[in-house]
Amino acid sequence: MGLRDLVVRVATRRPRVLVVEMPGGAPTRMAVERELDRRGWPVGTAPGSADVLLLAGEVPEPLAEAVELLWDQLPGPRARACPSGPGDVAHELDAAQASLRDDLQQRADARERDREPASSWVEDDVDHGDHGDHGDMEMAPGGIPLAEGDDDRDGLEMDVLVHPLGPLLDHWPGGLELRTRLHGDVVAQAEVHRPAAEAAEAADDGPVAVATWDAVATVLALVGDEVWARRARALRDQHLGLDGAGDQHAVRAHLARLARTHVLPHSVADVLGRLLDERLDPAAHRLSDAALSSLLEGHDLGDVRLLVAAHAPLLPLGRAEEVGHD
Amino acid sequence: MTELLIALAGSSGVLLATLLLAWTASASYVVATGRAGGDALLHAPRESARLLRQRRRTTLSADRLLWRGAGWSLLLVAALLVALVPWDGSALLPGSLGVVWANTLDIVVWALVWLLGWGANSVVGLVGGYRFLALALAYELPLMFALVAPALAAGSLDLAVVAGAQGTLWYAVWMPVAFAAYLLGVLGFAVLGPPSAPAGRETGSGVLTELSGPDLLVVNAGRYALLGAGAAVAVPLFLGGGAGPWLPGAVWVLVKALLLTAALAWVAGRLPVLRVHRLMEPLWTVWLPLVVVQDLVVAVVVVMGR
Repeated sequence: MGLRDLVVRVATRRPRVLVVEMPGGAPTRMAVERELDRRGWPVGTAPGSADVLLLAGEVPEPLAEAVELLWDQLPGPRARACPSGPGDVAHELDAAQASLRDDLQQRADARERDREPASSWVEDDVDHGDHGDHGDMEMAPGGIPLAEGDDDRDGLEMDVLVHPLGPLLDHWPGGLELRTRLHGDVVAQAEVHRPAAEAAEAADDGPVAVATWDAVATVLALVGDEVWARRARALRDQHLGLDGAGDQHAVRAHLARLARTHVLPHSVADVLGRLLDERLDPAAHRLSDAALSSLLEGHDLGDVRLLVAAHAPLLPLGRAEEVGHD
Repeated sequence: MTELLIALAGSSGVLLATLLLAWTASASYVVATGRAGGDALLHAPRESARLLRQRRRTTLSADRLLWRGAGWSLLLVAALLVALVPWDGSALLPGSLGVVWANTLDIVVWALVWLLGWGANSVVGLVGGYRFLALALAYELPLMFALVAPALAAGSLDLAVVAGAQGTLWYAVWMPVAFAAYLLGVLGFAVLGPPSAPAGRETGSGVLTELSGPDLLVVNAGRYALLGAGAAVAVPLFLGGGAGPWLPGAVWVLVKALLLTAALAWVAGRLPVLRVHRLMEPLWTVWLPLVVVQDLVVAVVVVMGR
C-alpha cells in the first residue's frame, strides 16, 4: 500500500456527514443517526466542511433544485447518500465511503465542476451583463443586493437582511422553510413556507414518545451537549422498540438543570417538559404556521433553531390549511 | 552563529510544544464527548488528513486576504504565547513584561476571530463574529483582573519571576477565583466549550461555517493550540512554574501544562454551549466583582507580609 492510499484511508476513516431530513423522512433520519453513532462518524453542521451529503427520505420535486445548490457547496471529495428507508442506511453509508475512497472518480468529479463560488441564492433583479456601470456594482456587490434600512425594535434604523432558514438544514424538520427578516441576529419577522408539503402527507408520525425524545435529542445536539444528546437518542430508540436503554429521569433532570442555567431558553425547556409529561398532545395541539412565526419573532438566530427543534413534534407535516389552531 | 542555532532550536521546540499541546487538547476534548481513548488520539491525524485532502472553497465576494490571514494567524498567536513561557528559568521570548504580552496576545484573538466571521461574507459568519465580540467583553475584564493577582503577589510582570516567587504554596491554591477567571478566559479565546457560541452548532458553526479544507484545519488546530498555550502560560502564573521534585524544571513545566490542558479540554468538551446574551450579566455583575475582591485580598496579603 503506497503512501497516497494510506492517506486516503486515514482521511476517509470517519467522514463528516451532513444529514438533511426530507419531508416525511424522520424515520430514515433517526436510523441514520443511530448508524452514525454506532460507527462514530461525526455529523456536519455546514456544507463547507462535509464529505457526505445525506438526504434522509425521498427528495420531492420542488426541492430538487435546492438540493443541487447545496450539493454544489460541498468542496469535495464528496459523496451523496440517499437511503430510501431505514433498512437501506448502512449500505448507503458504506457506498458513500467507498466513493470517497475512489480517487479517480473524485478527480473526475472535481474536473467537471465550476471553480467559481455558487452564485447568490437571492433572486437578483440586477442585470449583470456587459455593462460596466459602477453605481450598480455598488448597490449589489457580487450580485447580492445590500441590506435595506428599517425601523428596529429599539426605534433605531437598522440594516435589514432577508435570510432563509431551511428547507435544507441539519437538525431541522424536513421541508420547513422560514424566510426571516433579520435585524442583526434577531429575527424580526418569519414567514413559514412548505415548498414540498404534498410529499409529507403520506408519512406516519409514529408514537408520540419517539417524536418527543427525538426533539429532546435534537435540542441537546444543537447546544453541543453530545453526551446527553446520545442518551436522549437511546431513549428515543427504546420507544421505537429497538434495543436502547437509558434513564429517563436522569435526562429529564439534566434538562431542568440546563433550563436553570439558561443554556436552554425557558420556553424550550417548558414545551419539552410538557411533551414529556404528555400534557401536550401533538394530535390535538398542532401548531399553525401563523402561531409558529409569532412564536419565533423577536428571538435571535440561535434561539430560533432551538425553538423550532423543540416544537418539531407539534409541527404539521402536510399542508397548513388542514390544520386547526392551537 | 551559535546564537542563531540556539534561536532556531528554541523556535522549533516552541512549535513542537504548541502542536503537542494542541494534540493533547483535541484528544481530551474528543474523549469528553464519549469516544474511546485510542480513537481520540487518532482523531487529530485523521481530521488533518481529511481536511488536507479536502478542496478549498470560497464564497461570493469574500474578503480573502483578511479571512485566510486571520485563520492562519491563530496558530501563530498560540505559538507566541508558548514562547513566553519560561521553561527552565528562561523563555524563548524573555521579558520583564511577560504578563502584559500574554494579555496583549489574547486580545489579538479578538480581531482574528471577528475577521474570520467577517471575511467569508456570510450572514452566520458575521453573526458569529459579533457574538465573539460580545463574549470577549464578558470574559476579558475578569481575565485582565485575574492576571493582576499573581503579578501583584510576585511584585513583577516577568513570568519567570512570578513562577519563582511562589515557593511551595502555588498561587492557584490561594488565588482560586483568579485562577478560575483565567481558565474561563482561556476557553473564551480558544472558542471551545461553554463560551463557544461564536462557533455554535445552532448557528451552523458561526465563524467556521464557510471554511473548508486546510483553512478549517488551521483554524481548528489554532483553537486547540490556544487552549493548550493558555494552559501553558497558567503554569508560571499559577502553578509554580518548574518547581517540583526529582525532575528538571523544564519537564515539570511541560507535565503541568499537558495535565492542565487535558483537564481543561475535558471539561470544555463535557459542557454545553452557553447563550451569549445570558453570559454578560453574571460575568460582569457577579464574576468581575469577585475577581476584584480576589485582587484586594492579594494586595492586603502583600502589604501585611512586608
